[in-house]
Order: sequence, then structure tokens, then C-alpha cells
Amino acid sequence: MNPIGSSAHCSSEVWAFLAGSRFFALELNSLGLIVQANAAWRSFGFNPEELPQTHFSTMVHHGSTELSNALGALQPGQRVAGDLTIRREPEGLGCLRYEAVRTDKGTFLLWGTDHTNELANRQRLLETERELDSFVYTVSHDLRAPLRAMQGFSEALLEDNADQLDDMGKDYARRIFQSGKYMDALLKGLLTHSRIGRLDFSPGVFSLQACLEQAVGESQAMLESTQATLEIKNELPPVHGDQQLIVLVFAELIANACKFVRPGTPPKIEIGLHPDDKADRVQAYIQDNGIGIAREYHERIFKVFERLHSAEEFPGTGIGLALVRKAMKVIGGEVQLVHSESGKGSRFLLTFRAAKE
Amino acid sequence: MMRSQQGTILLVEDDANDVLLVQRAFRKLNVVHPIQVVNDGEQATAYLLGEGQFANRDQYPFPVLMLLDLKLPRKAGLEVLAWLRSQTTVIRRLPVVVLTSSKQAVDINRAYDLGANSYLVKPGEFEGLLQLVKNVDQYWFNLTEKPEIRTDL
Repeated sequence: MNPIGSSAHCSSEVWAFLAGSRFFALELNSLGLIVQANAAWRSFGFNPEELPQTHFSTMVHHGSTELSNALGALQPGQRVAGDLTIRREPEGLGCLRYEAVRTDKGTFLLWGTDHTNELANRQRLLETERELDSFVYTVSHDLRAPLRAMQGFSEALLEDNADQLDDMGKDYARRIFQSGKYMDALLKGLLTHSRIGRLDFSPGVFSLQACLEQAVGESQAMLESTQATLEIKNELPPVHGDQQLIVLVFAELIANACKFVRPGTPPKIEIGLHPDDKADRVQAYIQDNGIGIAREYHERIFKVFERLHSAEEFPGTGIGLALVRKAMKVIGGEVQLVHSESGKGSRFLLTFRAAKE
Repeated sequence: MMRSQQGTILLVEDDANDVLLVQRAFRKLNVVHPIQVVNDGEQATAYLLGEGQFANRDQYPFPVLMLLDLKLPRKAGLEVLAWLRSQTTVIRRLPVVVLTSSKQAVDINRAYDLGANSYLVKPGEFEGLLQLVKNVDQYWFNLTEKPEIRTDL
């Protein structure tokens, strides 16, 4: 949606065009006072004749500071875009998806469309996701109680009644115990997966470096037992996210790299900054010398309980990378497997939102 | 292991399996305290008051420690805790250790708000339960000075 190109040369003609369009349009002076408003604003409950001389922020419930800052930094011909939550008259909130430009006269033109329904849909979707997460949490939590009993009593059989069991009986009891243990690991994975979504995630700025160091610290036992070497190539910058989740992401990827190596090969892990020209994001890579993943499985490995190997080859539940993907999604980032071939190691790329200094 | 002083533990737990496993853990560790078990919150309050079937204090002594599950039929664990701490008699001093499978912050915070003395999460494996019982025994029977609670006055 761009009725006026990249700059506004003749704002009166542009205004005439905007005013008659389906867009909500405002012209603001350099102080943010409304110069004129078009008739579209009636559908948000405003009287366009009464709007001039009021400050635009009085119409806005959320987002006015961001817009003010963005407008202040705008050069002629430059454009900003975003969402504003509008206080509808007489009550209620609406969402305006806007774009704004600075005119040659030094005023600002802002136009946008009603995104209230999209916003509501998105919120409904988020709610549904949360409900699902809380359902998964409850189910996996409640399933653990009978499981505890199965494990406890099969173990009791082996310890307290061993003399009454023959070898086959003991083997059966052991199998019950082992299966219980595996199911417990599955449920723990599900609990973590649902907790990532239920977490009251409070976005903040965190040092990627500190999170990585914490994850390395938590992984020390595994790194030592597998004789892994881990090298951090660059100092990682601060990013937007959540400390707990970023630590989890690194810890799961390190665990992944330690686990999926050819037998007898010590894991070699390298973590560093991926060169990137976009200022609004930070990309970190983690490279391993593991068994690699054939191309056709690059998407599947991020799904819950998806495994590419038998439990005998590589024990585990297959939830680790699903946790990584979900955590990255929650903090507004992304994880990709950028380079991996069977037998040649894997390179995961993590994209974070950069924190402006 | 040091022999602990005698004193009844009241276990409030509705899951028969958990009761057996806790009892087995005490047995394996040779912990000597008699354990009394009640299966819901109403029985717990009746026991603490020495009412009804629990009127005989020789048979059902007032406990020195209560292990309290949260998810209970009839009256939830937190209700029992709130009730106990609101009593005007000395029974309100009874140390209460919550022993539950809930790790949710809302339960943990509420339990401490209501005056729980400790909050323990049921471990997944029996080995964990053994450790837990061992620590409870050490801490509450060998280390901790317990309040005076005379219910016969």
C-alpha cells in the first residue's frame, strides 16, 4: 500500500487523494498536532472536524511513543510503518496498521488500514496456543503419577522379591522399569516444551555471550564425559529475548552436538558470529563434527519426538531440537539447519533480534 | 545413621501407591518414626483435632510433623494448611512439609504464604524418594528444634 511513492512533493494533491481513499489518513505538523483528518476516521468513532489542533497521541492507546520517536528521526522521503492501538470513540480499541512519510513542508502524512480483526484473530490464536500448552502440561504432569508407581514397584520387585523371581521374571521387571524410565523422559520433554509456551515471557535485552557461557557451564559434565572441545570464536553481542530460553537453546544444541558423533570421535563444537549485513538482527552459528543430517530430514528434526536413529544407536527422546525451535520462536527469532550432510557435521544458525546499543 | 527421636509423622496422601512407596522408603532407611496415613483433607483436620475415629490419642498421637500432599479429595492440601494456621490453639505450630508433584510457582508461593515450613516435589524415581526421606529425617528430626505442642491440656 503506497499511494504516494517514496516522497511527498505536493501534499495538497496527495492529501486530496488520501482523503478520498479507503485509508485512514492524518496530516500532522512537526509537533505531532493534527492538521487535518479524513472522513474514514468516523468508522473509529472520531469526528474528523474536531480532530485538528489535538495531538495525535490522544487518539492512541499504545504505540504513540514509538511513532513519535520514529517521526522525529524521519528524513524527507523516508517512510516508517507500524501498528498503533487506537482508542475508539466512545470506547474500545482498534488496531491501525500505518505508514507515514515526512513531506517537504515538514509535516507528516500518515495513512493506514483497520487491522482490528487481524489483531483479534492473532490474539485468539495465541490464546489457543496457550490453552494447548496448558493442556499438554496438565496431561504430562498427571501421567507422571502412575508412572512413578510403575517404576517404584518394578524396582521394589527387583530389590525386595528378587529371590522369588527367576531370571526371566527379573528381566521382565527390568523391562518395566526401563520403559517407565523412558516414558518419564518423554513426559519431562513434553513438560519443558509446554512450559516454553506457558512461560510468562518478559522480553528484555540479554548478553548472548553470558547466556552462552551459562549454557556451557551447565553442559560441563557432558562435555567432559564425551571429551568434547568447544571453541567460542567471537564475543557475542546483546540481543532481545529471554535469558532462560536462550540458555536452553545453547544447552540443547551443545547436547545435540555432543551426542550425535560417530562412536569414538570426540565432539568438536565451534560457536561464533555469522557475518550478516542486517543491522536489526544478530546471527550466531554452532558448528559440529557430528554424523550430519541428510537433506531430506532437515525439516523433520525440529518436530517433537522425531528421531532419525534407533534408541540403541543414540539414546534420547527426540525432543531437543523441537525445544530449540519453540524457544527461538517465542523470543521472535529463528533456528535453521544451514549446512549439513550425512557424515560431514552440521551447522545450525540462530537468528536473534539485535538489541540497539 | 543417628537414631532419630520418636515422634509420629502424619502423611496426608490420597494416592495409595505413593503411600506404599513413602512407607517403603522409610523402611529401607530404618527410620523409626511411626507414620500415620490419612487419605483426604477432611480426615487430616479430624486427625489433628482428635475427632471421630481419631479420638484415641494413644492410638493416633498428635504428630510432630505433617507431610501434606496438595491435590487431595474433599479438602485440598492448601485448605488444610490455611485451616491449621488459623487455629487459636497451639496445634497451629505444627511443622508442615508440603510433598506434592506440583512444581507450579502459584502452588509453591501460596503454600509459603499460608505458612508451609518446606515445599518438596515428589521425585520421579525411587532413588530420589530415598534421598528426600533421608533429608527430611535428618533435617526435621536431628537438626530442627520443634515447637511444644501439648494437646492433652
